[in-house]
Formats: sequence, structure tokens, C-alpha cells
Amino acid sequence: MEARAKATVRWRAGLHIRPATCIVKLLQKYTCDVKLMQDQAICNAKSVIQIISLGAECGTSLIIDARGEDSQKAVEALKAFFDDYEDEDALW
Amino acid sequence: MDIKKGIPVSLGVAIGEAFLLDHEGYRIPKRFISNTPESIEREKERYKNSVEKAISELLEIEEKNKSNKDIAVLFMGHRFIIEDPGIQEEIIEKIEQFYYTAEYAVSHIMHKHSYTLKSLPNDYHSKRSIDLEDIENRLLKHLLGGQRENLCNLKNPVILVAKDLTPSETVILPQDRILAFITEIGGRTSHTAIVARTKGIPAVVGLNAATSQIRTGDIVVVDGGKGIVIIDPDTSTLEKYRLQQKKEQLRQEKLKTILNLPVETIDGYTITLRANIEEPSEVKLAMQNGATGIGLYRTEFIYVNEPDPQEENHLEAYRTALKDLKGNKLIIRTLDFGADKAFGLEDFAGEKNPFLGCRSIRLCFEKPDLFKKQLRAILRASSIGDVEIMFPMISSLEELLRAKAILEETKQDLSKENISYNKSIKVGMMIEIPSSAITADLLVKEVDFFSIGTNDLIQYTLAVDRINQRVAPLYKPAHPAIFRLIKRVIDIAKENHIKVSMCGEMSSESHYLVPLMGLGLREFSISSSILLSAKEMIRKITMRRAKEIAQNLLGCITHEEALDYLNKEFGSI
Repeated sequence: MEARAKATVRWRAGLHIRPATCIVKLLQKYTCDVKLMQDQAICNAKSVIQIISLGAECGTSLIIDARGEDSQKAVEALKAFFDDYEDEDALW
Repeated sequence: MDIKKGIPVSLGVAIGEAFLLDHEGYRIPKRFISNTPESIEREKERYKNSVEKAISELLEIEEKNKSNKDIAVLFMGHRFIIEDPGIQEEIIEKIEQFYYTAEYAVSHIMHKHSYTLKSLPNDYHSKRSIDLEDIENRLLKHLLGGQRENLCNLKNPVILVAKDLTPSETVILPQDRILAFITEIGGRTSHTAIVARTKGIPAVVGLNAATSQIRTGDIVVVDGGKGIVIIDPDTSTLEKYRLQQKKEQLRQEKLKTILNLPVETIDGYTITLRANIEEPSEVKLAMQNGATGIGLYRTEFIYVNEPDPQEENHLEAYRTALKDLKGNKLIIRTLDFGADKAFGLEDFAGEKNPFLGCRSIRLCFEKPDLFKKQLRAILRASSIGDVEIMFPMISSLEELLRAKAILEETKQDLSKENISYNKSIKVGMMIEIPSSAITADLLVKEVDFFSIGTNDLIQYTLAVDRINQRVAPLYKPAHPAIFRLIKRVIDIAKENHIKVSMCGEMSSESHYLVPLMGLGLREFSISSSILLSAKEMIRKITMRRAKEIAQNLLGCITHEEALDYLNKEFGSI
């Protein structure tokens, strides 16, 4: 099973530690592998350190790429997060 | 193996695991473990433990900040980074393949990631490297041995390594589990040194950078007699020191054989040896080592447990001491707080020159209520045992008369209240300020005894801060000025038929003990741990010889000449 989607970083401060933490937390529910791709760079979306090391700024387009059983659901949830998450408003 | 040299302050050899007390401001040196499977396993285990502790700490923070999601999420992020399998793998690889210590591996990997973030073009992202520093510090804190308050929970005996120890810290230490002390700051008469000698714990102080070079868990050899510290000793070195330890044990056992023999010179002069104590519980050890009383009870420690001790707190302590003394003398020195021993009493803050400031008897004059509480307790104790009172830091006749007047007032108060006390309690004073040594002929008429406190006397006479390492070499007990002052005090006391003793650290060293006897001192108060070796020394010499040595020493015109002479006379100092 594979799933892909496009997402845009809308947060003024970019994809920093707080949204990255929320992403990792959100993906803990899913067993599939999830990657974030930005131009040449690629990272494991389940690792805070890797996400913040992308240094994705506000306006950056990313590709979400998931492989595994629940990849479809994971990509949908993550896409929704990129669309809806307001920075400074954490996900619990 | 790494050999370091510090200042030797308390005899004895200790071998054991280090326990680092300070983790703030550490630098992590590039250090390696040996490449055996056991040490690799041990190091990985240390790393994993630090991870576990850090995680549970972070979970607690998250829980506490539930209502503030910004903070909670930030610390959750920290936790995710610590839990990150990628990072964990990298750190473990450094340990397994490159034999890094856990500290160094953590520090190295976190720095690497921090560098990646810093080199990102976006300013906001590059500032996030602070998070990684925070994470690194958290892990290191656990690796380096945790906080001071955890000290009481020590299970195994350790060699304690710290920048410095305050008196209140030394008090809470589980002393039965301290094999030795190593500190970066201090000298022979610094507080740690005194406590170590009192308890017979080997100690080396003034060991620069000790807290950054020794880490918790390191095997360390401490030679408190030579001031040598060996980190991670090799097998033959370990063997050598184990042997030395055994020899020392045998010597101690041999010393026990003279325990019940009189303290007298070959030609029959009797010397009185008493002990210095800081807490009443130390009386037992003193008596076991043959002390005939306590020549100096430093009462400052009463203020440690109880910042504003009442009469009853004092009395309780004195009673405990008297009970174990079984009729022997107890000389109680009234409050001698100095800035060097500040226990957080408010009034020390901001003194630029604390050793010349409002300390000791001066503080008592400023706070007569505090002073009177102690005097009342001492007087009450005088009705249950052989108690004498001693005023510290007297610098003039006026001060002595003022202290005596307050004592007189207190006596009258007690009489009015029908509380019993020894009406003819003996009153003495410390000679520890040059002005009091110089005017000893005036002071002598007003006291029953002098007690020479050499630590302060030397410091004030030579104008040397004994804790300041840059001038510590100028702290010279064998300086001709010191012997002249001491001789003067002894002579004046003898002419006026009052007792004179010495309670300073100087009399703790045999090469000074003998010439001091030669100068006419017959009473000394020293640490319990060296009572027996002092006795051994005394029993080996004649008073005639001691007088000759004292005369020769008085003839030395420089400190160096005096030291050379003592070296010749007593072997290496």
C-alpha cells in the first residue's frame, strides 16, 4: 500500500519543533513508514530531529509519502494537519 | 591512567568510585573507555539509564504544563528527540565502535545535530539549536551523577569530587559512605580539610579542574598524605596503593597499642591532648582515640540544622557532648561565624572583605539576643559537667570586657530565675588576631586561659587569605613572625600563671608539635584522627630535645630556612 499527497508549510516560523512534535505525535497511531520530501531532501516524518533539520520555511511545498498498511489514512490525517493546524495551538 | 597533584590535607589512601557533585558548568573532555565487551556494555547501560531518567523527567514536565500547550508540546518535542531511534543508534555506535564514553558520545552527537540546525539559512530554525543544548544538558546531568540532594541516598561508598563544599553540605553528607574528598578549591585549613581530618577521611583539595576531569563512576586513587589523585589507575598502580592501604591499617592497629599509655615525653613531662569537635556526636570518636576532653567545640554547627537556635537547642547539644565526655573537660567556643563559614545567615551578603568584617564576637555584639541564648545554655550546661567558655576573635581589651559584661548579665539573669550554673566557670579567649597576641600582657589579667588559634593568627599576621589559591603558598606557619607571636603569648601566660593551649591546625603536624612543646605549650587540642600519632610522637622525644629544636627554630630568619631545618629534623614535611 502506498499513498502520496502534497502539503504546504503555512506557519510563519516554518516547520519548527512544535509542529514537528505534533506530526510525530499524530503519526504514532500509524504503522506505515511516512516520509517528507522537499526538493532533494527527504526525511522520516516520525522523527522530530529529522523534520526540523529539513529547515522547511513558510511557503515550502512538501510531498508526503507513506508506505504500509494504513498509509492512506496516515496521509489523509497528515494532510489535514498541514491544512488546519494553527501554530501555537497544539494537538492533543 | 591520569596522575594529578593537589594539596594534601588529610592523611590516608582511598581507592574507589568517584561521585561528582557539581554538574553545572562542566566541560566534557574527549574520553574513551577500554574496548572490552564489559566496559562497552556498562557504558551503554549508563547511557540507557540517563535516557530513562530524562524521559520520566520530561513526562512530568509535560503533565505539569498540560494547561499550557505551547510549553507541553515543546518538552514533548525534547522527549521525542531523546527517544529518537536514529539518535540513539548514532550515540550507541559511538560507544560500541569508537569507545566513546557515554558523556562524550551524547555530547558529540547532539553537537553534530545542533550544528546542522545552526547552518540552516532560516534564522528561526537555526536558533532551535538551543533545544538540542537543553536536551544534551539534561542527559549529561543524569550521566554525571545527578543533583546534590540525591547525595543522602548514596548506597555504595564513593570518593566525593566537588568544586568546593560548604559547611552545611559537609554536614548532610553520609560520612560513613565517603571514602575520600577531592575538591578544586581550598587549602590545608579550608572547611573541607578540617572536616576530613576530624573524621579521618583522606582528602586532597586545590585540585584544578577536578570536576571536569573526573566523572562519576571513574575508579580513583586518593593519596591524602601526598596530595596525589590517580584517575583510572592501571593494575600495578592499584596494587601499589592497596599495599600502602594495608600498611596504613597495620600502623593504625599498632597505634592502638599506645592508647592506654600516658601522654608523656621520655623525660617525664606530661602533655594534655584534647580533641576539636564540630558536633557532639564526635565526642565518642575523640574518647576512643584517647582524648582527655574537648579543647575546642566549634558551635557553629548548631546553626546549621536550626538557623535561629534557641537556648534549648544549644543546651541539648552541650548535654549530649557532656554525656559522652564522662567528666572530662568541654571547652565551648561561642559563635564564630565567619564569612568563610556562612550558613546563609542574612548579614554576610555584600561584605567586600568578610575576614575583616562583622563576624564572630562582633556579630554577637551586634545581636546580643542571639549571643545571650548561647551564653545561657553554656552556663546551664556548666552545672552538669566540666564546662569552660571561650570567646573567639577578641581584638582588644574593650571587646573582652564587653563580652565578659554580657556574660555577667546573663549570670545574674539566671540567678534571678533560680537556674543553677557554675558560678566560677572558667572564661578564656582565643588568641587569633595579632593585636591580641601583641597585647596579651593586658588581656591576661582578665581571663583564666588563652587558646591560640593558629589558622586565623597566621592568616591575619601574614595578610594571606587561606582560601585564595593564588596566595595560598604565602600561608606559612613557619614564618618567624608566627613563632615570635606564639612564644610571646606562652611566656606571658606562664608569667601570669594562667593556662595556655593551642587549638589550631598547626599543632596537628608533628614537626610543629615538638617545637611548640619546646616553646612551653603543654596542652593541645587537635583532630581525633591524629590524636594517637601525636601521642606516639610525644612519647618518642625528650623535652630537652624539644626545647633545643624550638631554640634552633627561633634562630631561623626566613620561612624557608625554618622549613629546611624542620625537614632535616623530622624527615620530609
